[in-house]
Amino acid sequence: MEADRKVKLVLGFGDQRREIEVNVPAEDPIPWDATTKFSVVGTAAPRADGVAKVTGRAKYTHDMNLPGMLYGGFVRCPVAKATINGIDWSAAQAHPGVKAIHDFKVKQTRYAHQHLIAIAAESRQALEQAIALVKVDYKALPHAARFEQAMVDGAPQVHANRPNIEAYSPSGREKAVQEAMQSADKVVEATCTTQVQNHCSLESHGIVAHWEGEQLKIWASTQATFGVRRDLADAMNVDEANVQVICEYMGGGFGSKFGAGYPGLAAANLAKLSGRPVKVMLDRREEMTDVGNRPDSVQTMKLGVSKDGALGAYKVDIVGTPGVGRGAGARNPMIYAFEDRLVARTERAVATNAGAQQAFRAPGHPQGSFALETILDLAAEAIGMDPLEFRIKNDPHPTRKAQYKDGGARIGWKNRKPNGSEAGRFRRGFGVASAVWYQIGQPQGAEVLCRILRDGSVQMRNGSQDIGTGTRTLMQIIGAEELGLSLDRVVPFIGDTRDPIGPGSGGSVTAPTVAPAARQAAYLAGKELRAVVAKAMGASADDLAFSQGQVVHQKDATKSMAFADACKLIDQGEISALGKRSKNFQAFEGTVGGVQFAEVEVDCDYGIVRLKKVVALQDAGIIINRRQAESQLNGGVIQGISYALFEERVMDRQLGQMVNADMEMYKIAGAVDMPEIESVLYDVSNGGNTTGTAGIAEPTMIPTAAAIAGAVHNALGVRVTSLPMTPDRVLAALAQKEKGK
Amino acid sequence: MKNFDYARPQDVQSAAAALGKAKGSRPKGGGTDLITLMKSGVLTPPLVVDLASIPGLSGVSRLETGHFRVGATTTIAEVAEHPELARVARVLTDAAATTATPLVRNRGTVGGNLCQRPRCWYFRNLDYVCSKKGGQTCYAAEGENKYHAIFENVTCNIVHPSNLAPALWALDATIHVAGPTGEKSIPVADFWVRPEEDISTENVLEAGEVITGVSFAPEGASTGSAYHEVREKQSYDWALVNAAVRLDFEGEVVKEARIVVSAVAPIPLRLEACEKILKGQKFSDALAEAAGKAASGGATPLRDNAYKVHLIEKCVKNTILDAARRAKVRSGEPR
Repeated sequence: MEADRKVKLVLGFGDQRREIEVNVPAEDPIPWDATTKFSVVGTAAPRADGVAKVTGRAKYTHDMNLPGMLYGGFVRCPVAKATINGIDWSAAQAHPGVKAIHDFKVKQTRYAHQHLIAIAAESRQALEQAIALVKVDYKALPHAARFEQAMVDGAPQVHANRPNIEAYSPSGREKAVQEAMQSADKVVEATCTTQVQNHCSLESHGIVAHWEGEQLKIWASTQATFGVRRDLADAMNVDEANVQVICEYMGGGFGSKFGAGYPGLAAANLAKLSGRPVKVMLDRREEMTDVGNRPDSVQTMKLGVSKDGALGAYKVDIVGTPGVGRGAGARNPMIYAFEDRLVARTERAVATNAGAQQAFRAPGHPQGSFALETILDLAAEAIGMDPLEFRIKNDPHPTRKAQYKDGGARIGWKNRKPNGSEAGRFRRGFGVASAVWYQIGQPQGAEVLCRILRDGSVQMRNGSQDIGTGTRTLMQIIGAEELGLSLDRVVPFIGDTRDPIGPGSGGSVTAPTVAPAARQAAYLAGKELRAVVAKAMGASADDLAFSQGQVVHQKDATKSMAFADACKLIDQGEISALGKRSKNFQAFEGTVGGVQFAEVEVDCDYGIVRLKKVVALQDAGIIINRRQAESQLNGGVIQGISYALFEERVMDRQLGQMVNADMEMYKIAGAVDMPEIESVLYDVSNGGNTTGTAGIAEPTMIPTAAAIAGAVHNALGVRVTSLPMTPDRVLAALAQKEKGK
Repeated sequence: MKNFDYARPQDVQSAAAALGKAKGSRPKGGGTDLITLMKSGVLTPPLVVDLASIPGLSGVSRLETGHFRVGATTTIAEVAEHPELARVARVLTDAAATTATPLVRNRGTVGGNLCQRPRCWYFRNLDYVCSKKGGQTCYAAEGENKYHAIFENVTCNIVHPSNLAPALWALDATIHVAGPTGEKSIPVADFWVRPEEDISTENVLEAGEVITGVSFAPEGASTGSAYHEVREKQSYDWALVNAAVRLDFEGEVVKEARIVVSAVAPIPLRLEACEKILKGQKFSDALAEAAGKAASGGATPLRDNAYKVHLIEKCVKNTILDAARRAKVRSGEPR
């Protein structure tokens, strides 16, 4: 066994460099750092599956059609709360084409459109007819579908065993914060509200289940293939070894697709009962009402600030509703990034008769960011300081410090006028907000298999999934980089649990978890190949390296040979190596930084916010694929704009249904609503793992709404404290300003 | 979706005959609204009669009278991009260009746009047996009503969804209809039905009747027209309020004015009070402002839609200004 090595690495970016010494385990290659010269890493590589996707050759779960396949769907209860006395499905069972019925055995429903039973039928049409034939005997009960309905005294209790309002343990320090406020030069206060946001993945939740004896084969639209495997093995009482989950392509998850869920349980059970493959794909209303959302929030804040712009004590009370789920905390972590803050925090979750919350791209952060950046802007305004200067003064993060200045120049911050100094119908404004994220990958979270074949082609294999972030291409790039090959020689495989383990795609974890394992796999396979070649040419393996499709003899170039020729020397037909994930080591910063700027024009006649430009700057560690990292950044901004201006779940106070459970009245930003987006990636040699990769899927969406709100504030001279910033809310803020004059 | 029969007749008479036979049968233009309603179960027609294949029902033509005729199955895109219509009926081409998305404009038809059903989320939800669907309650009255009516909202709080409707009314268009008893022409002003008259429909068409086209006189040289639509999203959204304005000038004096608004009441509304303020007056920004202010007269907003009262005032004002710009009475580019 070879020994570990101690190596010095140069971390950082631009003129901010730092040298660290790390211990590299024998099985790992020397970590990439600021001195590494790359050939394909960091280029704008096309997606490995781009052509398959745009030509329709890529088969999503929704596209799966197996011989004899049945269609599964759900009978649901239309009211927000009910006791289920009985369900008569005899007519449905007798309906032509109906093959199986699975009962979820629900006795009490707690939100509108909760699933009761699942039916499988020969066709979608027979399924819909059968669903209509089921008679549900239910007694509707008083409900609290809306936040304000659940908060009042004597409100209908959502859960039988606990009150609607659940308080989390407060941070304490109330008294110290109060005292500190008294000595502050200025104290600003605000209450911000944010809406419930739905995930709206383009591909809805769905699973195709197919039993072959004891073997369960699953196609799932999921962000956790191995999570689905575990869920279904547990639920169906079979060995995980007998469950195969396939997700070669999937149309988005954003946090809502971690497990098999009830659609998966329905498909597996209906398939078992009928002896036929069963496909369950949710329709849009089901997607909107019964698979999760981002909780809303009411955040009441108080912040002390000194005349020179130093932040003082901070007090925040957070209330949000997880529906029938648990936990609705808004996170505003930026305040912790500001050093030595004195913070008092109280938090409550309010249960409502509405679908349960689920993880959603940076859970808690966009809502927390909107509120926190609001109070920061108000503090800057109160002491007459430029809000950008205010942040530069208070934010210690090295990357963000650089991004504030860089982004300010790019958006044209110098053209920013004092708040509210614009007049007339169309008013311009500029805003800024920031993000923090933490992800450099899970130790032991992934294994990648690298196979070098006799013909010189290479496979990189991992069983997790590419939820759209480009994990498949990432493995291809890393394999190519490590083995000195062009991308077309490396074929990546992802999305089949018969391949090695990988993480669920949550917390922006996938890239920084898979990348180092992929690199180790290619490194170890390459090492074996070097040994084979060294033996054949009578050289030392240590003198051999991979570069530009060659196995290069570093001391005697005449001995170099083509990679493909080298592979012909592999006696056993192929070399394969399993790359594992070593522990993380010291990183440049514990967190990655992001800053976004927005320029808006507000139509004050109509209260319409139009975006002119967004500049998004994001620290992404060492960038593996520039094209997809930029795409990730653009996507975060687009979703952030949509959250800022349009998206909102509307719950009816009468029957308690979501009344806009479609893509028409649940409004999502479209192409015409998009401004110019300038996405600026910060290549930061991050350390932390052997590829220096950091996850960025989530932070890119966090600060967008807050930056837009800041720009609207600047344009109007009044803060819109409620999301989304629709005409009614913008006009209300303007009217309030008029009243205050 | 419920099973249904489907017919593709080759002439209007057969279409009318087929539609008259089975109660609840529906004509189909582009189908962008009809199919959605059928999927949600709000409409369950036994027969869908596709008008798309009827020759002569599509296209823009000039009549002997000098009027223009737009066939019922002409697509919204065709209207939006018609260069001659842009000269003689700008209010209409503006409205068409504002409609939905390129995809919907390519499929949706003029007849379908006029006859589409309201977007009220209670009406479109089968679980809400609202008064428009034969129930006792208008759920919008006390429910979630930020997009609902601010005028004439006594019985039912829907807003009329057609954006071509106010534009055609501003042009004083005529709607041509064929039915079992033959053909007839209906002034656009008489086409609409208030909920108080018949809550189940929004227009005067009887079973078996289909729109064959619309016609209108071209705008004169001293006429300016404009259409504005205020909405939350700029891509694919429904109007919060809209306004169609046609102004005929004599010099700088407003000789004739047509101001029609929609998305604010169960049917499109002609605002004669606003027209009166303009008529016979020398045009000025202050005049437009005054007319805009008058647009909200008699508004009865609900809990969540008072902002639309402000919007309709501003929308009417701005549309008047743009109509005057088009007639070169006021300087500047229409926005």
